[in-house]
Amino acid sequence: MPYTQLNNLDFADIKTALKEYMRSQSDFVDYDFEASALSQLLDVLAYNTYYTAFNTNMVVNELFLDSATLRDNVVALAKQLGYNPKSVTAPKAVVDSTITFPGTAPAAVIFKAGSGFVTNYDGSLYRFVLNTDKRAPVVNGVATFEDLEIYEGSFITTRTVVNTTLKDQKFTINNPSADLSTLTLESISQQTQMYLKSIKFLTIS
Amino acid sequence: MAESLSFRDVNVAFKKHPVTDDVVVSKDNAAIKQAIVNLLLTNKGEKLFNPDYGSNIRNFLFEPLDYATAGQVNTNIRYTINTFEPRVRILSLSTTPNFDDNGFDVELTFEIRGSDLPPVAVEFFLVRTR
Repeated sequence: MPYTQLNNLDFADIKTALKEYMRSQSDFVDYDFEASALSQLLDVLAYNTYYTAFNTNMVVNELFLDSATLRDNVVALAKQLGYNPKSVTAPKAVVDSTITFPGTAPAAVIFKAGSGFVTNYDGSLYRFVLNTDKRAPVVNGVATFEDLEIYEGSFITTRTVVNTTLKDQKFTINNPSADLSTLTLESISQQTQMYLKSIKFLTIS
Repeated sequence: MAESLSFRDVNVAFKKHPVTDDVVVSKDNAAIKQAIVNLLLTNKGEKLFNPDYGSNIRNFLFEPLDYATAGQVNTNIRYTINTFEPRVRILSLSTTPNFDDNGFDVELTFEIRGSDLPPVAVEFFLVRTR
């Protein structure tokens, strides 16, 4: 039996390769005539080979990020690599703050998340917010905050009801200006087994 | 004396040969007749990756039963055989409308190229079944 190479994805080439094989057989000689029953059988065989080859080729392509074309597969592969979709980035400032108490002073001062900071630069007003609670003790009537990271923008909260019957529920952040690096997730449990999740993030103003 | 060509094809009925237990084989005239029937009963677009292959005579069976349609059927059969069945040469082909049975009578005579077999005459009746 001659060695027949079936290494292409073209239907006509596959059929030609099968004909080459048939040529070495003496039982049937009508393989080369399109109208013959044997040619019809070769068509089915070639189509089956073509289909399998195409399927295998596609499956292998979809296994690699460089060659995957279906969105779901690209997303799945990117997820394995720890890729997060890009988002806008809110400008960040690192500031020090000192609060002096001339009279009676509390034991500590807390800046709550969402506290605003305003600055004026070159005639423009810029608003910043703190995205986490910060606490500083008062020592000798002075509270000192160092390296406070504040972000330009404002807090936005998205509330979503979690449906526990869905295995793969998606939570969409509709604000295109969200800085995903500042995203936090909170869940609020309720007795009805329904949960509220709030997503807080900042947007560039 | 030169040896004439021989044609062998698997029989579409796929019956078992009573002696050899193998698939029944059609030879020469029978093989080519079978191929012509296959060819004429295949609609265009039916064969994989070969949309031009086949004939359109099924479509004509839904046209008015008259000599004009019979002429079109005749042309179609002649073109199809000449194009896709290089083993035969048509000697005569006539198509006449059969008004009683609502179809077309076809008489085809062909010879096998390169063969010393006598010409083959085939008669068949084309009728729509639905």
